[in-house]
Amino acid sequence: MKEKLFPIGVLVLALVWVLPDLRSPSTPAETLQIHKFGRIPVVNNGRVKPMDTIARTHLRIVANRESFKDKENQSHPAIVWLLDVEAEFADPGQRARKHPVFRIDDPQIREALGLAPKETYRYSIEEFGEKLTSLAEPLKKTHERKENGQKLDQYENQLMEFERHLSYYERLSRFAIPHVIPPRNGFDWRTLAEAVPKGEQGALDPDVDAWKQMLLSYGKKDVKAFNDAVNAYLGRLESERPDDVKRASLEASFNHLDPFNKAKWLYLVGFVLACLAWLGWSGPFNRASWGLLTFTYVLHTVALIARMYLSGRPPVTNLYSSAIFIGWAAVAFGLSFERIYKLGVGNIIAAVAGFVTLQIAHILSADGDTMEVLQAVLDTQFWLATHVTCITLGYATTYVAGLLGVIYILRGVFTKSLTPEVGRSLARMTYGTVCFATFFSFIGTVLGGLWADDSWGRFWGWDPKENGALMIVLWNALFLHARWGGIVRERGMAMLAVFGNIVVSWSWFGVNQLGVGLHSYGFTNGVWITFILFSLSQLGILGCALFPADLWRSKPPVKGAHAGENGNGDA
Amino acid sequence: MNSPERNPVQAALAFLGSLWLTVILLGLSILLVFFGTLAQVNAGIWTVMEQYFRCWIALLGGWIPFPGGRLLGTALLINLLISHTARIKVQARGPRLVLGLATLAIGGALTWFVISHVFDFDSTQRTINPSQRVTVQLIQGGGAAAVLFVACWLLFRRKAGIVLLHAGVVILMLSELFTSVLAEEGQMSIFEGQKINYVEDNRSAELAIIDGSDPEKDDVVAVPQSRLQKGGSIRLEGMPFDIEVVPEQFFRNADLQPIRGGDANPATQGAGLRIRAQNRAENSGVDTSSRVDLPAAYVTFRERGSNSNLGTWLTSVRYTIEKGPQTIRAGGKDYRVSLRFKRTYKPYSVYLYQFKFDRYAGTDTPKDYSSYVRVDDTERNTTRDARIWMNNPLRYRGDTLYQSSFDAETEKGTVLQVVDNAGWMAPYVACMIVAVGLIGQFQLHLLEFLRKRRLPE
Repeated sequence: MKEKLFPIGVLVLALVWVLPDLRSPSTPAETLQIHKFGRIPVVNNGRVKPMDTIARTHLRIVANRESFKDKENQSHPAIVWLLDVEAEFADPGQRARKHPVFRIDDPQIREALGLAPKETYRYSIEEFGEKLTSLAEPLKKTHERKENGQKLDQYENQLMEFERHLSYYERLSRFAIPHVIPPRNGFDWRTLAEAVPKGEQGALDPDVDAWKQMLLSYGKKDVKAFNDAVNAYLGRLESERPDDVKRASLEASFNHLDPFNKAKWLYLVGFVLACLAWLGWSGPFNRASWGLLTFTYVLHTVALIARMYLSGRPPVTNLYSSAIFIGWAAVAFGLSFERIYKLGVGNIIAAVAGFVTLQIAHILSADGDTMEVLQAVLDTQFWLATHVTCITLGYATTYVAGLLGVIYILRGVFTKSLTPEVGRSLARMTYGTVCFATFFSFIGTVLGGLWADDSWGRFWGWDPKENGALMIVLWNALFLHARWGGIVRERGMAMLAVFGNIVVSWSWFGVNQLGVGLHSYGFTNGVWITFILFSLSQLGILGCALFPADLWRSKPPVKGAHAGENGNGDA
Repeated sequence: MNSPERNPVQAALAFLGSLWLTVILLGLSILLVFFGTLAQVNAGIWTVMEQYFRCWIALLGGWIPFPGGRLLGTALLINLLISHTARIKVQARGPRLVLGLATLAIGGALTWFVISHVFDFDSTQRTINPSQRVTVQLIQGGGAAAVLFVACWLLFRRKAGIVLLHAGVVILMLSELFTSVLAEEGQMSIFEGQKINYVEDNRSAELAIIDGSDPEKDDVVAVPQSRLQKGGSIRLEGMPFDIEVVPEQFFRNADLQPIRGGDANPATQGAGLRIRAQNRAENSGVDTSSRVDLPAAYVTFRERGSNSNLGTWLTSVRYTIEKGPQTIRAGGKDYRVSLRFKRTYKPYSVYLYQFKFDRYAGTDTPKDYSSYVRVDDTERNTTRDARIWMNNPLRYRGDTLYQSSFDAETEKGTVLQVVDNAGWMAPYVACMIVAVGLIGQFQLHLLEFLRKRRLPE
């Protein structure tokens, strides 16, 4: 009984955690309807999005989080910060200046601003505003150095970054972003600053007036006036621009649900369950893990589709979405393996792939809007849908093969669980996955060449990104030929697959850093270091695999001569 | 059979056709691609291409010899051919063999037709979007590939897919080889209202000497960059003078700077008296600003008969772009001399009506660039209007004209990249051949698997 109930219990807990957030966020009726305000559609960086997204992306850039704690240590959503910033002009309390949201990691900058280190490293304008002038001179020098093409050090990069954060704050507070006034009278979307009449006189157009009412009443904390203004404005937009309002509303709900982050933690729980299965009571734990992971996968899928609807694009358009898509595909492979082989291995693969890729996506999202508009050359649904999807599937499948290799080696070397039968199954899965990987990466790479030909008149240009893709194709081809030629058996296949992890990571991240690396550092350095550490970890695993067979705790994986020797020894 | 000499040959053949060799060659290829990528941090993409991929022996970091792209490609080809001949036997006899060979001939002919554009429609007329266009091209390739697969299946049975997909890979490799040898690339920079009938190759320069004394037509002699780089005395046919270049005084990329007192100055005439060439590092290919190299050279002119020295002149592409040619007087006539990007004249000219640059609302992020042009073909007596924009190039007479850049200052001039590559369809066909081969092979395996399952143990 317990064995049946446990997986169901786990699933119910997950549902209880996720489902309530499916409802739109709301505040009690007699308070400020900030979430309703968050649904108002505006334009920033060329895309219609809700105020809520503006608030979240900017707070993420400034504070590296999507909510903040005020001086009294009370937590608030990002939209409160944005409203406080925009209504500062009408706010006698000057709340925006008091919120400790600016994250300052660099001790030199903190010292220059006279700030004592604190746990969160987040400070308010009130705390450092007066000392800002002390940064003017170093900033000027940094800009000069940058213009002269000199390399900037860590401090200088942080300085530039801090300046950027301040400039976002400043532009938000003087309404230079976003474009809040919808198209009217032959104008495109305008910022409030652009739409306000220049002279003192002149009738305000209705949109400008609505914004004035909302911000003024918010600044004065006039609950009724604010709620009325927001309702009236949103109601009018709903009839004038129903599509924008619908999309923006959905996006605000999407932000609130935060599905990818939730999925990330659920994958982690799934991983823990899969690991527990291994220690004992394996049936129920494995089923619970599989059930939870499948539920998470559904959430992941729905979120992916919602993102496609919101951005109006195929799944992969930038690095962030590639991480989400790679995770999605790899989880699918993991779950299918579990369904077919029921070894617990599929669960581990799905959970690890899901958690790691969504964590990478989370880190990448710190850059700002994850659905930004595309550069002209990328603005083609056809190639994004075919080439980019194919190549990303190639990445995903190569990683799945690599993960199988890691599992094979670690289990073989450090545990006794790699029985000949398990070994054979793992090898078969690896081989099958590499066949898929070869197909997707080859077709994806060639399609990329065809895109280049169709757009630029040349099929192959040997540029770093193309080369990265070619290396994956060649690596998978090498794997297959080595296996067909009997050059590698199970262990060799596992090792080749693990090295494949390095090859894909090089193409996914390393190559980008190479191109960008000429100009920017800071974030880039972090990626480089991560890439190198990851490669070293994979090489470490390869090193373990090279242990002579009698040092493997499982039975020697290689049959024939190798096994024979040990067999004699055992006898 | 037992003769002792045959064994080494057999052994060699066995090695040349072995999968071991395949794996080694693939491994070396991966390393070469990797080093070729790293090299692009410091060197221009074209330099890397010549030094790593389009050569027999590559020098890693400039001195470690390593098999180059051509060598590895050729070795892989040989390895593939030998191993397939050794391992894959024709499985058909009698009528089946005849049918198989006939289908193969048809498939081969279809492939050739597709690659050589027999089924092409006139590209200046098309207004369809890239998805339709590419789909049409892929369907053409797919048709040929399907016929080939049937042929392979008749001939090779269960190894049909393997043979076919490798054939696709071979086509891909050969097409890259032909492209590297035959394709020509250049740019047309056109301002609105201007008409241009040549492309400039900004990867190499030429020294042009123009005798403009005939009002009907110009007499032009052009010395290519490769010749100038070698240095020495160069004879100019049809001109009353010859030139001499010191190899050290040719710069692949140079800045111009005003001459200060105390600078050694090789120039004795012309612009070189006021400015000098300052050597600069070559531009890197992955540099996102994608600047081009601007060569410069000091050239000494000598009158042929009298061997009298007409002076040493500073010639520079930058100078030509900014100020135009310099004038040398010899034998009572004026000659215009300029170091300029290498020009190739086309049998057609392109007139630019308008260049348009759209941005996303409220940003500087470009949404689209397009050039509205007219193509005049004097040879064929045709005139056509066309729009060239991102991801939508114009294909005309084997050339592809695509939107590459624009004049940032005025936004009234366009830069079209013009690529002359007659075999551009080959990768489309190869892609489909490999895809059909892979999918076909999977299907054959699947069928076999199902058949085995149905049989009782």
